Amino acid sequence: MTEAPADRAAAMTEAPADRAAAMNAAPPRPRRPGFFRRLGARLRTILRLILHFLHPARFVLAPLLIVLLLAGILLSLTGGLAYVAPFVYTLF
Amino acid sequence: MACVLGISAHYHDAAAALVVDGEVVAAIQEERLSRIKNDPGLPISAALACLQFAGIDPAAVDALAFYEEPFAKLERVMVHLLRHLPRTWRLFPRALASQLGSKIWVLDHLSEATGIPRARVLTCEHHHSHAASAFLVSPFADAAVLVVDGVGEAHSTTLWHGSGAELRQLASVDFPHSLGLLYAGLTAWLGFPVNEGEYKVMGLAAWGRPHLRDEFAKIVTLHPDGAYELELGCFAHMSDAELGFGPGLERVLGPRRPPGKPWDLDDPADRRFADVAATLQAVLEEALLGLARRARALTGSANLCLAGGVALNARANARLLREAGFDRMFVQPAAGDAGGALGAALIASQRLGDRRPPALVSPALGLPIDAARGHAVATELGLRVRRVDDPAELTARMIAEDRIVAHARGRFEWGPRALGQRSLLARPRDRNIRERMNRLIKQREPFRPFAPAVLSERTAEFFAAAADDMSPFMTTVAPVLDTMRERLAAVTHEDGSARLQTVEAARTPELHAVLTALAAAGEDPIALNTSLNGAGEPIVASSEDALAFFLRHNIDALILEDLLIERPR
Repeated sequence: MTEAPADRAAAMTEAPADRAAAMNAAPPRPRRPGFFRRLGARLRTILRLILHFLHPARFVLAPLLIVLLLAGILLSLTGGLAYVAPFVYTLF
Repeated sequence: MACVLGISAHYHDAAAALVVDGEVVAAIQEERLSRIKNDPGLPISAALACLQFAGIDPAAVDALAFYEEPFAKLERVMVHLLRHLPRTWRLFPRALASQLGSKIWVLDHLSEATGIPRARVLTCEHHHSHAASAFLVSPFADAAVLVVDGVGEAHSTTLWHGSGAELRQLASVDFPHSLGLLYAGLTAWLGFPVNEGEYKVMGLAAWGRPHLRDEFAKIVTLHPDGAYELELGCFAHMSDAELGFGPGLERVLGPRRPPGKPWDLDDPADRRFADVAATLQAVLEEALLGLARRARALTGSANLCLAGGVALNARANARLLREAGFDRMFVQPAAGDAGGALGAALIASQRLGDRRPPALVSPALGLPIDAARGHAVATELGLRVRRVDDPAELTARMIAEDRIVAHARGRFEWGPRALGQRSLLARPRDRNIRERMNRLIKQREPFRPFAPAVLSERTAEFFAAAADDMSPFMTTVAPVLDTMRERLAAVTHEDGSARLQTVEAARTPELHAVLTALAAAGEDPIALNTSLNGAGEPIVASSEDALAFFLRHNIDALILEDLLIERPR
């Protein structure tokens, strides 16, 4: 957790006029993480998703989840719905 | 001592809110920056703008809280797709693409786009976020909290008991039964766009008679304990992403109104559509009254907080305060999905050990106007621009001369209402000003009202109500005194009510100064106050947006902090 003086929040709620320009400037966007970091994050999300559906009450959804995950990987690999949509519509 | 960013996204009204050391520092809807009305995309611009405003580096953020549980939502979508097969087979590919293309990866996307480590990204339950967004910034130590919206993960209505900084869920109604989706389905049937036209239905209701109770008894059943059930044959939100209502609704109420057809309330057909809107409003109010009375019985509290999209129904809020048995009631200005960002940030802030924030005083939680930039751009464009000593006095003088003034001062508002920081102001006396405002700028349907802003301490001179916990945020209505209806012709609705904003110096100092100057000039301390935007646009945010608005619309003057930009008379 960050340490901060107690009146930090109160000081921020007041915006002096000379700070207005800086506040209105488009903030810089952080650099996008590399491919392997993004891949790692996606794999962890898939693991969490599987853990969520491992609950006995959700077993019935497992086959559907597998199909969804395969389709999701396909969507990820092809970079979007444009390539997959005809396939999806044929499948369902 | 923590710094928490809250995010709502992916359905409508995406937003970001920043809470630092338990205090709300900034809250911004993405639409204000992206300039896309009701922008549902990830609010990265809003999130980074909140951090930039506070001078905080993303690496210093202790938690990023998303306002719902993506996997729980996916589970509900899957269960309903399966349960309603074969009706849902057409929806299947779209639901799949939407969930897998973006929604289940939302936490990864937020981490990557903001630079906040993934380990600091957490989730809150949708209705919990709504409940926190209302209760934790309310002036109450103890309150019943009612959340009513379309649907969260599984719940569409929840009752909570808030005490101190704790919220405990007491009861719920689950999807597909939903008051929000009832209102949305009827909004679509009346020919308005869903998630945008609900205000229009509320405005239209005042023109009709609520005499279609028998028909509505076939659409929704209200139980004595506050629960309710939709007749699902009348709706299609379980199986159709486009329409929202089913053939059953047209069997009960007749064919839908064609979208985009001009309204003529002298036409008996349009009169009947107004009657449907009036009956819908009455049924909604009775459903909310049932829920509120149940909440009162379960909690024993004298205070009520309301959140969720349905809480933006100002007429219903006024009736709840009158009839549900509570002494006080609070609805924060961004009660819809945008508010979920604030609630999620507050929940995470509590989890990290911060104190409960003080009650929300000012709705001005957005970015300030950059007057220097405005001056430079206006000069570059060859506009007549000059600096003035007392912009409030000048604004009041122009309003008194029956001119329409765009008023952009201070930080912009949180929520869908213009509350004086980005407003069009005019004299409320003459009904013609309403026509002029509509013709020149808003291009609204003729039945939609404009709202008044009144000096808080003089409210009772004009309205049969005093300022309360909702009126500073324009989330309630009040009857205009019979003797004042002619004097307030431009802001008095067909049913004699007005969606008033009571203005105090501590909450909205810029608008308070204008109204005070009006009073000093011998005028009523009231202005017609409508949002500073054209038809289909988000409300203005920056000085460039305000100048672009000024160039596109034939208004008389623009006040940009202490700059006056006038059109030649």
